[in-house]
Amino acid sequence: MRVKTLMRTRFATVTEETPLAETGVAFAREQLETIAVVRESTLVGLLRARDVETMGPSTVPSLAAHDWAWSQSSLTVGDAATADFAALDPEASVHDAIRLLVRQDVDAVPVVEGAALVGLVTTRDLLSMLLELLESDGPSGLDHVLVMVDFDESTAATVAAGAALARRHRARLTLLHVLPPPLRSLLAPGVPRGMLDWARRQQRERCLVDLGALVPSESAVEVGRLVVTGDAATAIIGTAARLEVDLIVVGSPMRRRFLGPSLTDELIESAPCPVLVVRPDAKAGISSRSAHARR
Amino acid sequence: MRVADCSLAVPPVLLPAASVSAAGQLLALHDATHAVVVEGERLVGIVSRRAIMAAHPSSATSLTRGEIHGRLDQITVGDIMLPDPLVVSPATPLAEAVRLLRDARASVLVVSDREGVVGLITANDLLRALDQLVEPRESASAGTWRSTSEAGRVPATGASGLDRIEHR
Amino acid sequence: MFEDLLVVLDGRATSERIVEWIRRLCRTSGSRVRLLVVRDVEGTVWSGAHPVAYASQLEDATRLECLAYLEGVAARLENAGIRVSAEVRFGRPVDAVLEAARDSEARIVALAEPGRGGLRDAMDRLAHELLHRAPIAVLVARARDQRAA
Repeated sequence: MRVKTLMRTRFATVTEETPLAETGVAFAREQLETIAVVRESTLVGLLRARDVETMGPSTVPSLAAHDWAWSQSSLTVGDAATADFAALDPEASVHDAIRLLVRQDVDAVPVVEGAALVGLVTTRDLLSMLLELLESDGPSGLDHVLVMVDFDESTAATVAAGAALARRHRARLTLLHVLPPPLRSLLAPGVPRGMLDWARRQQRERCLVDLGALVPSESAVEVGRLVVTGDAATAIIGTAARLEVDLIVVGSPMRRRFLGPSLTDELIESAPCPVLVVRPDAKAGISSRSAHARR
Repeated sequence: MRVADCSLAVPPVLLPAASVSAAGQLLALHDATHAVVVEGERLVGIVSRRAIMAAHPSSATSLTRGEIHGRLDQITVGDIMLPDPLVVSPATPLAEAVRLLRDARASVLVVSDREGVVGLITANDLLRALDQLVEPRESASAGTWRSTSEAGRVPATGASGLDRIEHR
Repeated sequence: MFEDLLVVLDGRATSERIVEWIRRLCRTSGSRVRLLVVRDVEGTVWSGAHPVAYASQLEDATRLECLAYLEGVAARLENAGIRVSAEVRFGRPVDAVLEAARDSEARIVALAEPGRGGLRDAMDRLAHELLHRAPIAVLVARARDQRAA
């Protein structure tokens, strides 16, 4: 792609005689931080908003109070513009344009034919181009859905929602159950460690089996099962981040901690992807209704 | 593509109480254009080289050089920072970051995961990403295109199969 | 559930972050998205004892402005093959959203939560209330500060 296709052909310019104080309007109207300085149609310089700012009064009120003489100064664009920059040829490539924009740290680079200004390539327009490229090839749909399973009244609805999404997007589905950390102190002293470990392993196995029973195998969804021990919020967020899931599905109401924020709030606060909170009732999904009917 | 696909530098960190002079020196030392401002574990703002320069008074100031330096030592980063910066995570789709930088007209996005700030994205970082995405050479052959000084149609001389190219 | 969604926006770029997720979620499923902006009820503007602008006029002007904004957002979704409608309601955000959900077939409400902590932001409060009160599913995308190391 050539610069002549990318460039703007309609844009504002200023002359060397334009008072600096009037340039703010031009910057605002163009929504650019860089304006071309011309003499008739010849490009003679580049005016950068940051140079005007630096030359202008302080932005800090206590210092600006001493800049009162500024408004009487007759500085013009010619005093602030720079002639030390490179312009683009219309036949140059988009790579040349990017290189100049980045190297010169401006948000617009002029395009010249000889000495005549014929166009302007702006960062903003290139960002729009990038957006089009990304969105046209972008991820269409979801790749991985994580469903948090509590084995309570919300389970049917959350699993149904997660499975429906996974099916629709041909995404992977992971069902996650979090076991609370063992409260060893509540157990009778003298219980051998080996027994506790065995009991925990049994519990994990049980959970995995129960998770497996939630999604019928003929549902054409690739299902993974995970049982994690620990703090619920940390476990969900950590798993979501590790597996790079695109969506977390949880039921409501979530377990409330004693005095802290609810699990839902914590999830929303730190999740690396959006969170879908599903209700355990008819409005949440057709399949949940049938699940209730079965019960 | 996600934000994590861009290589990002970890920005220098400042406290709100740091002086503007110190901030300028820190940025120069790291050759950075932006620093993040934190209060304990909380990200509270962004300070840019541009904001530091803009804090300097004009040439028409009635202050002496010594006075200017003294004042700049008193003014803090908290006074000139941009509060509430926009934050994305490394997993954020890149398109979202592009849209934010373009439409919210921010100069920088903070990239942060649960552990903390991992980098900053500027428009230039996105331009570099664009540079990688666009084909290095035109799919048209290397025919010579003659440009005209006014809008018009120019016949192709290369063997690209295109008949015409239009100038804007 | 994903055939009909209600998406709440407030004009800010941060709130628009939900739109990209909706695009991804709905692209394959021929869904219908309703965009909703909720604004405060306008009061009549008085100059002394004379009304200068009536509430209904102000509301009309606001409605037009918001609809124009939503049109732009709608285009992005329509390009992805999603059917979009747009609506502006006046009143308390959570009530207006719940009403809009009731009036439609929407089974999910989606929004982006800027989340500056402490529920200072209207979208934060809306998300919080919907999560705890709404009878339908809620999809929240985060647009939030993280802790710095």
